[in-house]
Formats: sequence, C-alpha cells, structure tokens
Amino acid sequence: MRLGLSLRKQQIIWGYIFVSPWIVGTLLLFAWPLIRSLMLSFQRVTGLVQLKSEWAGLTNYSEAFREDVRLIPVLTETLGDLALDLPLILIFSLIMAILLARVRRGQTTLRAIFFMPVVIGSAGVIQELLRAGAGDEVMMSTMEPILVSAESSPLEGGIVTPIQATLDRLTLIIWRTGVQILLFVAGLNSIPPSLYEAAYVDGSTDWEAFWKITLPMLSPVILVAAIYTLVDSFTDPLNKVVDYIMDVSIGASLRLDYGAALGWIYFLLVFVLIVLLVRLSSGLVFYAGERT
Amino acid sequence: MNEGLAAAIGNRLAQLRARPMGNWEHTWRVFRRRLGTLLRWIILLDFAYIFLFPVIFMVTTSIKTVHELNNPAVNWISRTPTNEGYLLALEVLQYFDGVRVSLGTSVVAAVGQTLIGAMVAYGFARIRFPGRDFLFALLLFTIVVPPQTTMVPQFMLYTDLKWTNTYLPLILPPFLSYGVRGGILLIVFRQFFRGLPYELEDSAHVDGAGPFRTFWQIMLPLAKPAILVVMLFSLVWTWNDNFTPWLVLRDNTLYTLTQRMEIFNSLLNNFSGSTYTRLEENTFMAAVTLTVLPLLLIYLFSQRYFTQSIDRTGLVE
Repeated sequence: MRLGLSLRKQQIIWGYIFVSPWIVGTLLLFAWPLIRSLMLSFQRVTGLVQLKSEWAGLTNYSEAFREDVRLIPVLTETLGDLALDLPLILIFSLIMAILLARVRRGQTTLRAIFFMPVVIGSAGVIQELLRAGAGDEVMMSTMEPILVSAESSPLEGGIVTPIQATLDRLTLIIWRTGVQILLFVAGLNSIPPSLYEAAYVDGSTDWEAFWKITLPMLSPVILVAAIYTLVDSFTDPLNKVVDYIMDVSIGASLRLDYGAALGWIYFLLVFVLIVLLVRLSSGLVFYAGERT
Repeated sequence: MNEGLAAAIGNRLAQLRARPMGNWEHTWRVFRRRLGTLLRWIILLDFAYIFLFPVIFMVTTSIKTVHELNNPAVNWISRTPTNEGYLLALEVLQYFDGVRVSLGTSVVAAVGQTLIGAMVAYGFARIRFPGRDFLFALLLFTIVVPPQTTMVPQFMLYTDLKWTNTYLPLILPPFLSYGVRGGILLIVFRQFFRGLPYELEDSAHVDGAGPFRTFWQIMLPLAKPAILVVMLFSLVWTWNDNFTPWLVLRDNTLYTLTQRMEIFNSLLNNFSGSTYTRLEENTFMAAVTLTVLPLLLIYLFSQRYFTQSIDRTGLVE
C-alpha cells in the first residue's frame, strides 16, 4: 500500500478489504435473491423448466389474504404461540441464570448441561425425540403424582388434557432456552459487584437489589435475548408458517411465485414485530456507561 | 472526599457488626443461608435433568431390547442391554460415509466462518471508513429476514451455478458470513474487538505493521475466547442444518448425517437384505444417538473452555 496514498485513504481501502467477504456474500446470497423473490412475488410463473413468467400485479398477495384458507390460521396460531412462548422463555432463562450465577462450584458443568439441547439438535433431533414421545415423558415423570390425582378426581378430562398440553409445551420451551441462559449468565457476571455491596451497606434487601440493580443492568441483554428468541422461532423448522411456505414453494404444488409472496408477507410481519419490540423497549432499556 | 466516603462506609459496617447478635440469631442466619443453597441446588439439578433428558432418553432407549421397550416395568436402565440397534443403524445410515460428509462440511465451514468472520468483524469494529455504519445497519437487517423469503431465488442461483449435488452451498454461505447465523457470529466478534484497547493497534502501527498484519498477528491471537465460541456455534449449526442440504443435495449417497437420520425409515425399507419390516424404537434411537455423537464428543471436550470463553467475549456489553 505504498502508492503515495494518504494514511486516511489507505485506512478506507483497508476497511473495505476487511469487510469485502461479507459484502460479496450479502450481494450474492442476500440482496440479489431478495430482489428476485420480490419480483417473483408479483409474477405468475408460466413455465417451470425455463422459468418463464409474466407480470401478475398483486394477484399473489390478494390470493393470500382472500382465498388462502390455510395462511391466516397458520399465522395467527404462530403469533399466538409466540406471544405465550416469548415471555415464558425469557422469564425462565432469567430465573435459571440468576440461580446459576450464585453457584460457585459446579457452575461450568451446569452451564454446559443447560446448553446441551442446543448442541444435540437445533431442530432435527429434538423433533425426532418429540415424535418418539420424549416430550410427554419428561414432564410426566416429574409431574405424574399430580396428574394421577387429578385424573381420579371428578375434574377428569376437563382439566388434565389442557395441563398435559401445557406441560408438553413447557418441555419444548425449556429446551429452547440454552442460548438465552448463556446470555443472561454472561450479563449477570458483567455487573460490577460493587453496586450490590453499596446497596447492601445501605440496607437493601435481595429483592430490592434485583429490581433496582439486576434488572436495569440486565435490560440490554434482555432485549438481545428477546430478539434472538424472536428470530430463532421464526426460522425454526418446527414453525408452522415456515413449514407451510416450504410446502407451497418446493412441495408438490411447486408454486414458486406464490411461495415468494408468502415469504414476503412473512418477512414483513417479522420485521414489524422486531421494530415494535425495539421501539416499545427503548424506554425500558438502560445502558450503563454508554459509549459512543 | 473519597476518603470521607470510605470512612462513612467503614463506620456503618462497624455499627452493623457491633449490633448485638445473639447466638440464636446467628444460627438462624446460617441455617437460612444453607437452606437457600440447598433449595437452589434442588431446583438446578431438577432442571439439569430436564435438559439432559433428550440425551438420557436417546441412549437408554437405544440399548433396550424390543421386549423391554414394551415392558413398562423397565423404566430406564436395560437389564439386558443390546447393541443390535446400533449394528443395524450403522449399516442403514452408512454411518462412516455420513460422518465424513457431515464432519468435512462442518469443520471446513466452521474454520472458514471463524477466520473470515473475524476479519470482517475487525473491519467493522476497528477501522473507520465511510459507509461503515450503513453496512452494519444492513447487517442487522439481514439477520431479521427469514431464510424462507430468499429460499426460492437462492435455489435458482445454486442451480444456475450448477452447485446442486455439491457441498459448496453448505460451505460458501458460512464463509461469507451470510444470513441470520453469520450475522450473529459477526456481532459476537465485533463486540469482542471493540472491547480491546486501541494502544495495541497504535503501537503496531508505530512499529510499521500494516492493518492486515496487525489483525493477523496481534488482534486474532487475542480473540481466542471469541474464536472458540464462534467456531463451536458454526460447527453445531452447520452440522444440524436441515434446510440447505435438502435444498441442494439430491443424490442420497451425498446426504449429511442429519439428513440420513431424518429419512431413516425409508432408508431402512430400501436396505437390501433387510428382514426388518418395521422400525423399532431402539434402532431409531441408536441412529439418533449416532447422529449427534461426534458433535457431543466435540462439545464435551471443549465445554469447559467454551463456557469460560462466553464470559470473556463481552458478548453482552
């Protein structure tokens, strides 16, 4: 780089050299496919072999909202699940992280265990295990006495079935918290102990310290964990919308144009949700020692 | 001023200590603390069981005999452990071919993603150039676009490039830090590099090192904790990917281990010389265990460094 360029110009060139792999990847694998899928969503594919297509305007989109009987139920169901799962995942992983952070000996081992479901299968293996009935079994073995007593009671059927369904869900939710627990423990470990010492000297209780120190100091991590959970659940193959889009576009019907439109509807929905999450939380998140 | 504060705190502590505390009160406190620890451990161990459950379930089921599978009295440990499930699964999966494919693609992808990703993230974290903030905002944007939105054109792209039935679509995206996961890992690296002191680069510059040399010889060796975290995540994600392989691999001799496990049932039916008509649970769990085994071993050996590294990456600042 001794071409007589000024230091500043050299720096700029180096900057672009460093990030160039990512730029190439984004253009080739992200930007171009994204534009192509947007175009495709406004077209009607007439010949699959040569991929001939004609302009179709908004027909794919109007079909999605007016004629498609599967899309809206699948979307509302996924959103409903998410509204339930997101707080559960966050609260559960936060509690686990707080319990973990207080453990001195054995913390590493426990953390390794809590991360296990992430390692053995972000999706595939867990899916197979659930099919094999592992989901019912784990909760049944811990909750069996309660359920058995409920079954023999007059409430039978009415209450046991929903409880069982919730328990199955809970297992799945717990298995999905590995990364979030990791994030929270790291966050808790980075809170300076001097804050707690000062609070205790002033007579604060653990409860007060949690609300006034732990939670505000952890709030950026909570936001990150929430976004991670959101993104993760939107790309999860167990997600019904994903399943449906895959089915439409590369399943038997092979409707690439309609699949692209569904993909875009889905993406806009995800995007709006994340923007909402960030907006709503902006007043709640506290950045200690914010740097520029 | 500071000393005054220290003195005040000292006084307060002395007051607290001086407060008459009977023997009973002391005992009560110790008891309460121990009870708290005990409860904490009970809860943690209980949940550790739930987290370990998939592994326990998988392994114990795989060594049961068919007879024991249907016997409700045999809850966990098989009295007559058998390896017939494993023997069959090894052959049906064509296990060692599968391991070669999966390990090959994930190790190559992980190494490439880590080294190239570190470089990109270093550029984002420490070099000032116009457009950097815009590019980084774009990076955040790529994270929130579900892969299903770009799936169809990506498939067309791979077809145009004649990359179907090759492993390039599995390896190249991680190399270029593409997508949700690539983006997250870049952020991990970027956070790490941002936390390092600027004096490192200044002194390297004074000694005549160019930016690349500074990155390669000074910053990268310091980034070991982040490297470990990123590499493990990348490895796990590529290994468990059950999206891209189905998109591009058509020939089932090329399938990754995860794919083979997912179609185990039909593989078993096509298995030549098979006398098995139906899939027994123990065989299937043996197949599942075999599929995650290499990953599990890698994780077990690296988990100590892995959890320690998480703290040092400054992931959450």
